[in-house]
Amino acid sequence: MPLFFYSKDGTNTRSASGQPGFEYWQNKADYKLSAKLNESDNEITGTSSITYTNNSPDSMSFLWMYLDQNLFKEDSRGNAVIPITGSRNGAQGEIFDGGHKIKSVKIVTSVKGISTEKEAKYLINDTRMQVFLPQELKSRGGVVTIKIDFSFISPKEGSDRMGILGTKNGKIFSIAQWYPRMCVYDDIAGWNTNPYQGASEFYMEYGDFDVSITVPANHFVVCSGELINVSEVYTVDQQKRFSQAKQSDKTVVIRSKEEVLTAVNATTKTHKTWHFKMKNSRDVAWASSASFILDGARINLPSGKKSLAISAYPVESEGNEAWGRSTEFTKALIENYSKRWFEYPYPTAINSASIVSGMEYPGIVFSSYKDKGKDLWDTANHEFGHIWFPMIVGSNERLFAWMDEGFNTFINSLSSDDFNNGEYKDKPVDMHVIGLKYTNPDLETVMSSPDNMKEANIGDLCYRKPSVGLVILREQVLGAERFDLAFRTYIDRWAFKHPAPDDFFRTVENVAGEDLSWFWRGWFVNNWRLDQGINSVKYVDDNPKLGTLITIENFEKMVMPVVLDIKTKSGKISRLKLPVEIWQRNKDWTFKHNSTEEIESVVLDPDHVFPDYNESNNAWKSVK
Amino acid sequence: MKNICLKYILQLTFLLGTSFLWAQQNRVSATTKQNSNYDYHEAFAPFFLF
Repeated sequence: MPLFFYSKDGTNTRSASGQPGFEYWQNKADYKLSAKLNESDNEITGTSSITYTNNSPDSMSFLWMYLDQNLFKEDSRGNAVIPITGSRNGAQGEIFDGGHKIKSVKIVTSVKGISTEKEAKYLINDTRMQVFLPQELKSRGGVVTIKIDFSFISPKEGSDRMGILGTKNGKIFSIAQWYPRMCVYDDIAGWNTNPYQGASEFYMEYGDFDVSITVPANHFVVCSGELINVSEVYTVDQQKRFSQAKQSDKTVVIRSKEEVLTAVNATTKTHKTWHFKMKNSRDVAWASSASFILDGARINLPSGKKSLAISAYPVESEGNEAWGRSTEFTKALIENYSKRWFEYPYPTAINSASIVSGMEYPGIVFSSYKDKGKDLWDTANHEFGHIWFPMIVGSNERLFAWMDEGFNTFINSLSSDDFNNGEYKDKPVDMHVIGLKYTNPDLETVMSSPDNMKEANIGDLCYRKPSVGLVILREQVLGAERFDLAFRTYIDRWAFKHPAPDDFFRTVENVAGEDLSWFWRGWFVNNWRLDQGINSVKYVDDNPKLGTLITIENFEKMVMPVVLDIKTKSGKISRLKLPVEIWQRNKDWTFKHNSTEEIESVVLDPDHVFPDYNESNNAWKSVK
Repeated sequence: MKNICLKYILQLTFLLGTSFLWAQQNRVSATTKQNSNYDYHEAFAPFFLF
C-alpha cells in the first residue's frame, strides 16, 4: 500500500477537493416500462424501452445491462457461492424456473417520425447482457433506444429483496430487479459489470421512468413515483380520501380493512393498468395485492413543496402497535432527513408490507409485514434513510456498501434521537466494546465489497463500523458543526451523481479543513486497532506540589486524540484533551499536568468514546 | 437493505459492555509495559515515498 493516502491526484472529472471535476460526466438511462402480472403463475411479462444517452468522451460499440433475475437460475454464479445454510441470498432453496427470459432485443430508430425496429445481437453471461450496436454510439451526447421483451417468474423469497407473501386475503407481490437495467459506464472503470451474486447490491444510472403495470382488477398497486391515472384505478370514495391524505398531517385511510374484506371474495378476470411516472431516479420497484389496506398523509418539505407518505399492508399487519403507525413514521422520517441533509425529491414515499425483511428502492421501501413498534420504526428508518444513500447520492453499492449502508446507519441514529421526544432512541454505545468487536483482526476491512467478505461480517463492516466511524469523526474529531457541514456538502455535491470513496474523503477534508488520512487509514482502509495506555505517573522532582508528569503510549497502529481524567487526592477531577498530533512523531508522550497535590487516579478515555479495545492499561491508581 | 443481525449486535454490545464496566470497576492499580506496534510514519505519512 502506498504511504500517500490518495493513490492519484485529482482529475478533470473528479477534483482534488472532492467535488465533481469541471469535466465530470455521467450517462443517462430513461425507461418506458410496461409489465403484466400473472398472479396464478407468479410471472411478470414486460417490455422495456430504454433511451440511453452517452455523455462520456468515448464512443461505444456495445452496451452492458443487468439481468438480475438470472441470480435465481440454477446455474448462476450467485447460486454457486451461496452456502447450504446461514445465507439470506438466493431463492432460499426454492426450485423453480427462475431467471430473465429475453424474448427479443431491438434497436429502435426514428426517421422523420417513422419508427423502425431492428433485431440486435446480444450475449447473456450470468446476470449481465451485452448488446451489440449496429453502429457506434457517439460520444458526448449520442442517443440510442433499445426495446426488450422479457419475462420472469418471481421467486417467493428473492435474496431478501423481492418476493411473494401469502396472506389470507391474497398474495402480496414485492417486485424489484425486474426489468433489464443499464450498467453504469463511468470515468473510473468504464463499464461496471460485476455480477449480481446476492450479497452486493446495485450501481444504477439515473433517468426518467414511465411505468405501466397491468394487474388483476381487484389488485392495488404501489410503485416508485407519482400515480398518473388515479381516477381509473381508485373508486370515487378512494379518490376523495386520496385527495384528503394529500392535505392531511394525520394519517387518512384510503382503502380500508372493510373494503379489503368486501373485495376478497369477488373473483375477477378483468385487469387494470396502473400508470406511474418517476423523474431523476436510478430505479423503480412496485408492489401489488388485493389484500392491501392503504393509508396516507402529507409530507411537508423545507422548501414548501409537498410529498405524500403512503403505507400498504394486509389486515395481518394492521393496528396502532403495528402498521397503523407506518405512515406517521414515514412522514416523520422524510421530513427529518429533508431538514437535516437534503430535500426529498420524489412525489411519494411508500412503505409496503412484504415478505422482505427490509429493502429500499427510490420512493418505495419493502418492510416486513411482521414488524411492530420499534422494529417497524427501525426498519422504516433504515430503508427510507437509503433514499439519501444511495438513491440520491448514487454511489457504487456493489463495491462500496459502506458508502450507503454505513452512511445510512449513521443518519438513522440521529433521526431516532429526534423522533417523538426520543421514543425509539437507541442506548449510547460503549466504544471500547465497539473497538473490541469491530477491529477484531479476523475481520476484513470496511473497504472490502460485500461479495469479498464473510456474509456474517456484512452487518458489522458495511453497516455498524462505518457508521460508528462517522460518529467518532463527528463527536470526537471534528465536532458536530464542522462534520455536518462537510457531510451536507458531500450530499449536495454528489446528489444524483456517482461518487467514489476518494470523493467522500476529499470533500470532508476540504470542507472541514483537516488532513484526516490517519483516520481513514485506521478505520476504513485498514482494520487497525486502537490501544492507548498509561505508562507512568510521576511528580516533578518527586514533589506533588510542582506538578505531575504523565506518560502515555500508543500501542497499536490506529491513532486517535486523547482524553484523560486526572483525579487528585482531594477529589478534584480535571479533564485533559490532547490532539492527535501528539502521535505524529511519537510512540509515547510525556506531558506535565499542573497539579499541586498528590494524584489519586488517571483514567484514559473515561467516557468510552474512542474504540480502545484494550482497557487493561487505561487506568492508573495511586497505591498509597 | 435491513441489517438482520442488528438486534444480536446490540445485545452482544450490552453484555460485553456490562462485563467490561464490571472489570474496570474491580481493577485497582497500574499497568504492565507492553511492546508497541505503532508506526507513526505509517499512520501519518503525507507524501508518497518511493
